[in-house]
Amino acid sequence: MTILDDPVDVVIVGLGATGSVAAHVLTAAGVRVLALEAGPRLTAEMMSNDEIRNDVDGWMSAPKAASEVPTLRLDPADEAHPSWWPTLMVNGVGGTTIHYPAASFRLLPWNFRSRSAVEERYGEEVIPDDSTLADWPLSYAELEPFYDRVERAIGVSGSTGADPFAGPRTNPYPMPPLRRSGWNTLTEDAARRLGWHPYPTPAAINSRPYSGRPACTYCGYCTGSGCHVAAKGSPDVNLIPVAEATGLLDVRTSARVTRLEVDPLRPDRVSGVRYVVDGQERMATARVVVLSTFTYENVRLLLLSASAQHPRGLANGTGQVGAHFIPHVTPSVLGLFPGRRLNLFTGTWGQSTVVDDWNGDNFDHSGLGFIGGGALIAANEVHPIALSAQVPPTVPRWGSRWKRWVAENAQAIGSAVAQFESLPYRENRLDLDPSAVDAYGVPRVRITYRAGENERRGAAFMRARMREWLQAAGAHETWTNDEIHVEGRHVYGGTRIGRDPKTSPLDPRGFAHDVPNLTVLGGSTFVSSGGHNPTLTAQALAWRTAEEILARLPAFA
Amino acid sequence: MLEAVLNRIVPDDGNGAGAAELGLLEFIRARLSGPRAAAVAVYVAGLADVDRRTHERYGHGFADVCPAEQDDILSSIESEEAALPPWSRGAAFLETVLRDVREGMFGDPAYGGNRDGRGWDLLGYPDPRSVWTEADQRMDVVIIPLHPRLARPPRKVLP
Repeated sequence: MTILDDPVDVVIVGLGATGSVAAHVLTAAGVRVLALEAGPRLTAEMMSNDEIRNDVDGWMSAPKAASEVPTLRLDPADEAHPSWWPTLMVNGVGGTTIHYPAASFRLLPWNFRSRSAVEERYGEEVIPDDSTLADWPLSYAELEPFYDRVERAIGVSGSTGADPFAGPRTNPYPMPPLRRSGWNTLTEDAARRLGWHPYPTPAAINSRPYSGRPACTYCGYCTGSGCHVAAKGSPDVNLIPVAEATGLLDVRTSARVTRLEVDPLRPDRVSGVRYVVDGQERMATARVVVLSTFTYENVRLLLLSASAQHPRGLANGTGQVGAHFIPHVTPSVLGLFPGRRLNLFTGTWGQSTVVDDWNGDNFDHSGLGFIGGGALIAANEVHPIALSAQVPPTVPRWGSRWKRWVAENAQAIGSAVAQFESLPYRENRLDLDPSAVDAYGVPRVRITYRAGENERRGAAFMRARMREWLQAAGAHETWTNDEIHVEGRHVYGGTRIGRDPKTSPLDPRGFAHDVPNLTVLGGSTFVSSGGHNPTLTAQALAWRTAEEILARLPAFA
Repeated sequence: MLEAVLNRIVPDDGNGAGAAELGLLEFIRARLSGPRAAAVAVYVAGLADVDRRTHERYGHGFADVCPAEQDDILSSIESEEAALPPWSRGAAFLETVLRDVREGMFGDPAYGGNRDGRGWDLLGYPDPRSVWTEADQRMDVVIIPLHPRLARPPRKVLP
């Protein structure tokens, strides 16, 4: 027997980076919101500096996310296998941002119009034939006010004006950048000697007390863990408490959403969502449904919500759900700084030094054989188990020689990583795996992703720049892996926004073309990946969509 | 048998602690009885394979041949595994052992490995802290553990 909840104005599925933004904006305007979150509430006291618990066992991906990691194949003709990309999705109030290193970049203005900009500068023939690269249906200028709102609401530390490639800003960063470590300064100085323009990574981490929360203690366990002092601006410590204080937000934890339901009398309206709490099925009805889970789960829930009226899944009338899937390709280079101690176990990733000279179209691509680029980042926060695997290919990975090399060199290893933009291709997509299921017997998402020549050449180019960078900083020996490396936590597309229902499931403001009282938030709405960490952009888009919900709500009685 | 493999991966060679001193066998046993139960089959099949190869090549079991011959067997397995596709490489025997060894050597001693922080000593890692100061974060600073290794207060693993 399904229990029916009292109807609300808006139901939010997934209270993470973007659902929390929507909850905040909607409740501030007097709208009653029910938020369904698959995980529990996670508090500062539950966090520990324990690499096995955090990074190895991934305790925060219980109860649900751990078993729904997608399957992956590198070719549509292949069989899929459990994804071997690094993937950590968190179930909990605050979502995957609980464990993020809080890098809070804006995209470059160029990212929003990369197709037309590339065509204008290099000609359309440089865009691969099978790429579905498109301009975003909005400009940087249109998103800027929302970037600004999010930065102030969650608290972002950064160096205003330090990045010459950044788009214009309404306001300076709310806080100065995080502390500069010896490694941060070393890499910054080296980049400057190369004629590049380094700056400190903007991060949603308090460089000084902000909004009643203390400053960062630089413990070095942002990734894989939540903050033990609430200095990190994940929404569980800012947006959600503010929304709950209005009395209008009802947060239901351990609520696993199974499908979105369509109004039987109005197939172009979603009526609510079906979910399970403690083994009991419930149905929440609402005027507007906000789907704001991880990229994979957004796509999965839409496809699982197939019905007689929507046989291919919700918002999927033109088969666009799951299409235009794009991950970040993340080549990295390691370097040995003989005789030096970098102590990268101190400090947090968000302190890193970043270079945008090789991002977007900030450099001339003529003759390079690829388009786009990525930020290059040199960071702290290397945990000991991870560090012990950072051995050059010339050194054995076990035995006495390994031990000796590690003892002599472990604290002299530095690294850089690139967030290289992958193009969308016709054949790269997400769908439901025909055989693999999660712990609840529900089909898992299947990723089909093949990197193109564009990605291979681009990654090689990025590796060459990072070698130069580390060498300029004093590295004698550098090493890297030439295989395409994908960051499974930086995945985009699958429900991209756009004007044309034939090429995008969502309208420019994130509402489903087919079902206009359904909105989708998160990385799945991105049109291109950009070359920066995505969260701030996803949150800015969420703020914009939430304001549009306020405008459209009267139309959905 | 697993003990003999671990002794080659982390030899007691006078340069930092060896496998036994680090408690690697106990660590792996505890993990296989808990969160890594799925890897039991990998160990059982992998160890049988190691022994079979050693018999074929040297006419004795793995534990009964000399260190150089043991290394030879492990190296041949390692190079075969390197050719595996990415989706199966991670679950291959030696890859699994190396991963578990790194975790048992450099993870928190609360899990039974890295006894007395001897793995961290090898790595030049002092200990996890809730605060790193500006001075700690300068280049070339030698940071010593807060407590002498044997006096480190026991840590509880959170659920």
